[in-house]
Amino acid sequence: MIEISNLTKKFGTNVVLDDISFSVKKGEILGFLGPNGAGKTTTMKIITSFWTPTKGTVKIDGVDVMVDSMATRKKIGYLPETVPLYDDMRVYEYLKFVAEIRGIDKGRIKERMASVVGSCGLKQVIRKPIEELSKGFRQRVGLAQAIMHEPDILILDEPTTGLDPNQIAEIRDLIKKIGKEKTIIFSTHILSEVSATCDRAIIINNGKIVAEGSPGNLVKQAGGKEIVYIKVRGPRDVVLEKLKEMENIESVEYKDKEAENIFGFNIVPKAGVDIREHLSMKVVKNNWNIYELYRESVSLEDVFMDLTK
Amino acid sequence: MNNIDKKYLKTIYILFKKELMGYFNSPIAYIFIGVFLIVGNWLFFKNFYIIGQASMRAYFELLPWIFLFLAPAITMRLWAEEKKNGTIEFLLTLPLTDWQIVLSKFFGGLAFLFISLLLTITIPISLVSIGNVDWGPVIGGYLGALFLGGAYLALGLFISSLTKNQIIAFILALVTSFIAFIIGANFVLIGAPQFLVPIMSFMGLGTHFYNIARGVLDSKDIIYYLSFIFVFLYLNARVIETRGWK
Ligand SMILES: Nc1ncnc2c1ncn2[C@@H]1O[C@H](COP(=O)(O)OP(=O)(O)OP(=O)(O)O)[C@@H](O)[C@H]1O
Ligand SMILES: [Mg+2]
Repeated sequence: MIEISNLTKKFGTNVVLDDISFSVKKGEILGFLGPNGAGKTTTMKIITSFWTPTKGTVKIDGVDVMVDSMATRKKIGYLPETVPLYDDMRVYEYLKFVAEIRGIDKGRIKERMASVVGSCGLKQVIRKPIEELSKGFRQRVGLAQAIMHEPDILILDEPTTGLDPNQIAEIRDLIKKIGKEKTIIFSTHILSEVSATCDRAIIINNGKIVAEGSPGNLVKQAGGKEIVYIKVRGPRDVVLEKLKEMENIESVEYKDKEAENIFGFNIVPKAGVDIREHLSMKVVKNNWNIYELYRESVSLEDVFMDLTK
Repeated sequence: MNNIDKKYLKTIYILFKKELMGYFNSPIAYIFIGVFLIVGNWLFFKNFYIIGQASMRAYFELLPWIFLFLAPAITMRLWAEEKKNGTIEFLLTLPLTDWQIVLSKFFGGLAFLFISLLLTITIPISLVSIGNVDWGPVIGGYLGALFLGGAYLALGLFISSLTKNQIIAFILALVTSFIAFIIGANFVLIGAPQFLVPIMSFMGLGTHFYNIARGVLDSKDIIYYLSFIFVFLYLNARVIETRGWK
């Protein structure tokens, strides 16, 4: 559906995208990750024909965006990083303008407007001037703009920045809902969002792809490390000492204190070894009491920070 | 007309509507029109009763100088605002050609100017009360004003595509329009080298305006204005196409 090959973008001598290639299948939701200045927005602007690439191609359903950009633009809905709104219009005026300029038949404009107002939850602000909208509603109006012409592909540049947690959850649900029928690329700095919504994620850094795969796979690729957390009642230093003596252990460190004599520790076992049984026996043997014991795998956050250092 | 052309024009019309709506959605448009009418009428009627002629000559002598401020004030925000709001990314990723967008902005500005001129109708009406009006120069004056205004707008629109800064766009448009206007004026030509005089006299926006305003419609003048407008709209489309703004 979207095929990007050897994409390079230079601004002057500054290489912003360096020979990037990837593809997105129909119906896929792709998360686009990377630190500030990595090149996410630039990639999106090239896909949407705002910028032209210095080298390389972008194909939408086999059509090169440089060869027939009028055709590819029709298939794409785009929500730029700065939501493109006319502050002096009211919400319905803006949506009507978007519908008209997208060439929707006169007879269908009402229906399409009602549909995007419904799915983006805009009913209560429909008559408001856009300049009076809160950030969350601006974002929603922007999203409504992007889906107005029922595009097959959605390019969303940080659709959830600046929103409160409730709004983030709402927009995320919306993306998931829309994503059932559409191909979506969205960029974000919130990694839990990627695990929650994406089929696949790409991490870029300094204009290069540094990792690619399903969120779960990315974590596995990072080495499949895990951490066992245990909280016990017992003398801190003694516990630490004894834990370190255990077999199949890479490291132990003191993590936190809940109350007098109740301490938590992070244990990193050797790869592939389950130490939990051993661990509980050790605690019992020493007459400490277990308050908590759980195992957690390395998070996407850790992978991200590792790769983009 | 075939379907493609119709769609092409319809899109321009939709954008044009949005542009025009943009003027009247903000109070600035009313202020511009208000100031334009007050200044124009005041300067005209100040001398009108002294001279007592049923002619708008004095008004059309004046108009290019008022337009020199009005046109850049109209055009300065046309691209700057799109860049500031980020709507430029929306506009330029729509399935439209750059020409469609440039033309709609130009005609939006021209329509605004046209409306402003329409509201000066009080002047010719009051002439009728004084005596016999020679309508040739009046109609010629208005026509010339539209052509001249169109030329200023095309130039100003091009300049505003180059920058994000409205103040810079205004000042640059004012200065370049001023130069383009006076380059053919007599007091400039006196100081110019002899071989340049015919060229400069032809290039000046003002020379052609006063030709038309006398009520003499010469295709040379009209072709001159249309070419002037076309050149700057073309340059504007090029800037937009190459995203060549700062
Ligand atoms: N118009 C431009 N001219 C010159 N350099 C630019 C331009 N636009 C972007 N850049 C540069 O390109 C690089 C990548 O920018 P880009 O906006 O793609 O990053 P990003 O991954 O979207 O970052 P963020 O997370 O901050 O949004 C940056 O170093 C930026 O300075
Ligand atoms: Mg960005």
